[in-house]
Amino acid sequence: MASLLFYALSAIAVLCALGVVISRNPMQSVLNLLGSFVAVAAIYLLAGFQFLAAAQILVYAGAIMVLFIFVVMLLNLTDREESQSVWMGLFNGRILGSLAVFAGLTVSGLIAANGNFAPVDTISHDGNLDNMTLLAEVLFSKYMLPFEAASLLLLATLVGVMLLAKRERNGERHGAQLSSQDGGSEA
Amino acid sequence: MIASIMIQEAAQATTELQAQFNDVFSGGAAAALMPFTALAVGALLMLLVDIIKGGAKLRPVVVIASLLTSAFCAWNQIGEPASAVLGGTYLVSSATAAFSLIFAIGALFAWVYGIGYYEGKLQEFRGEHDMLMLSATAGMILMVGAGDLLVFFIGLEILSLPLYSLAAFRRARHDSIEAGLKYFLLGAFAAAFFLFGAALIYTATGTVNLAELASLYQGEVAQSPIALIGGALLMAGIFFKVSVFPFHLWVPDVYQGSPTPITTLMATGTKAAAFGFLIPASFLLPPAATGIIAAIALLTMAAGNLGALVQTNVKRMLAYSGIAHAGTVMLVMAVILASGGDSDVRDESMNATLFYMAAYLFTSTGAFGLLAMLEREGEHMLTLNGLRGLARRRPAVAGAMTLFMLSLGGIPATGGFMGKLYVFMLLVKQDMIAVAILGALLSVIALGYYLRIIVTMWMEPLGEGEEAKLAPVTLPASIVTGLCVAGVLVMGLMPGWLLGLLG
Amino acid sequence: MNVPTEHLLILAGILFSLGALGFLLRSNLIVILASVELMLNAANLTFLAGARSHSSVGPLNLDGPIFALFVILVAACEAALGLALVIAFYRQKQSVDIEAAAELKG
Repeated sequence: MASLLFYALSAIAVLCALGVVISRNPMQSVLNLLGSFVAVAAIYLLAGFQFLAAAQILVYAGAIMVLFIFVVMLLNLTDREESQSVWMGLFNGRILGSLAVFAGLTVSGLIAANGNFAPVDTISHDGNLDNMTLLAEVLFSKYMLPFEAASLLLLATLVGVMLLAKRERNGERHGAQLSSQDGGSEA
Repeated sequence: MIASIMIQEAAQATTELQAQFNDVFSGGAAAALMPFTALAVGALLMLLVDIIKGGAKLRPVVVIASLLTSAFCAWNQIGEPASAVLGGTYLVSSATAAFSLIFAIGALFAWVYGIGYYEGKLQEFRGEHDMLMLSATAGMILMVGAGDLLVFFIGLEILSLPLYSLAAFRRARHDSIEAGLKYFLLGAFAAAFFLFGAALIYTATGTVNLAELASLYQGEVAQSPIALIGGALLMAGIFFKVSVFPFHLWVPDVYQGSPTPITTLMATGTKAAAFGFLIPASFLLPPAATGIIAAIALLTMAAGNLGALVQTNVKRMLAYSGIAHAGTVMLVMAVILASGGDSDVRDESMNATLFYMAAYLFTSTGAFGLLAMLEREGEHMLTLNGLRGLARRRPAVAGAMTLFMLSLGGIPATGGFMGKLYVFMLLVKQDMIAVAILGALLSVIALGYYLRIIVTMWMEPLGEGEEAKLAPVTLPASIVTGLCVAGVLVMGLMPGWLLGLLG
Repeated sequence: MNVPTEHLLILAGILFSLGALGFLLRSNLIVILASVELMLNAANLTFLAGARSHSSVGPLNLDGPIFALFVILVAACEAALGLALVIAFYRQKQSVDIEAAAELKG
């Protein structure tokens, strides 16, 4: 039963991922992405990763998706056409070539792989593979360094985003003055 | 009753945790991490200083103090025996310390060239700029010291994310935003490859610790297709970062569009950090990949040198030259793979890479720094036309530039020559003579465009109405240029002294 | 759930390839960013597949879940920075098309 559910969820995840790639409308792409994330979160839950399923929903579906949708709506992109449609792109030999090589590489490689994995029907641990207590213990002992370093990453990202997205304080005049000073590389 | 049992259990858990903590934090973890910590603290202080009224004057103090502290701590670590701290997640050895030293010095030089470069413009965001620069340098240190893939990945992101926004720092300009965007897309794509590769390796082995992986890869794990594909994808992700063929396409765009001091940091630091990880992690590729890696390295040299030949913008030309130099260092990877992962060859290769990157640091920083100085006169100074007759207008600048070009081209008595010689000697030792000859031929092609710059500066007359005097060179910039010149010469004339330091 | 590890890996491979496809084929920056998120998600799925397989005998192997946790964090950072760059780009070009990024050539 659970296995059937897994295959159903996989189908949803793949179809939604396909939707991300072929939707003409960015908003549809983003909503498809949300569908894919939720399906994958459900797979995590089935596989016994309860904490990560929750984190996936909270961070991906909760934070990242809101950010995407916010930007799509802020820029009012829904009715814009792309300069080149997906299907035109497929005729572009360069793209098609690079794509074929490496999509083939990944998928066929994985299918052909005989990893001698341990049989999974013996999994015990009460079906909870990311016990939060144990996770915290490892995170705060062995993985202390990346954990602390991640705070620097978040801070630097915060500063970088602010630097990029903040409007000029003295309005456009400042910007115009800058670009004239810097010389004429603007078209 | 239940409560007392719970308390007992909690106490027991606490003791266990305490024991684990002691286990992890023994062995001088704090001392080992000092080069990183100094920069992280500097980045935090920078944000604090920025909100204090009149604190802007303290900014240079914070930058210089944290970079020098970091460099000093790294210097002290050179020569100490290699050890792993924090449960094996961070390694410290002579090589990682030397790399950390390179990063701190490189960032300091780039920052000093930035003083004149940003003068009068973009001052509003200088605090953020410096904070991001310190973070990026801290990320580099984490990358070379990484004892497992997770730490490397976090270091990579601490390096990359600040650099994406720094590339777009001149945000009123279209080319700067475009450079940031392209760098970001390239980097995000590369990070995804790296992660998928790391995940496959983890699936095959059950660990992300490099030491454990290295011993597992001695066995039959190395033959499993999942581990092979994982290794290939992970390496592809890092190859994006070092801009080797065929992942070099957007690199000249990014280098050209970024502010010149940031280009300096990208060209020297990012590459050195990625190579500092690639060499010890080379066991992830099978020895059978030697031919592929050697071919990639030679194609990279060809793509870089041929691309540079047709450029008229000197900044872009140096970007292509950087691609070619990355190709030369890639040859070292081929040497390690050819030796079957022999640890003596790997140590030797690590020294060669270090030497090459240190020489490239002085040369490239000096060249880009001089361009940053010239760029203040206007963007036309970045083209070959703008450099015409520079020797008559500024003999000292032209002289230093000539030395850097000679070093990039690998003329004897410069650091660049010794670096190349070291790499080619390793190739010959491994009986890869054909590769060495091809590499040397490609290096000769490169002389074409380096000499063109020199000839333009010394032989060609000034254009009409270009007799106007150039702005005086600022004192900090001339000191740093002098240090770069000294570095290039010392590495070229007394290479043994530096190598002796590393043991 | 009794699904063999290989099937989880195949699902991850398909998702990763689809993400890469979107990245290479589409010219809308928002969709390109969404494709990158798809690729990172596929990497996470692989980490958990590995963790599940290595936890089936012996103690829990927590390296995978922890790596996945950090990937989620980095994905959030990359999305934020990427979207900020897209906004800055849009302000200048009134477009989110990668083809509009054509200032730098040579």
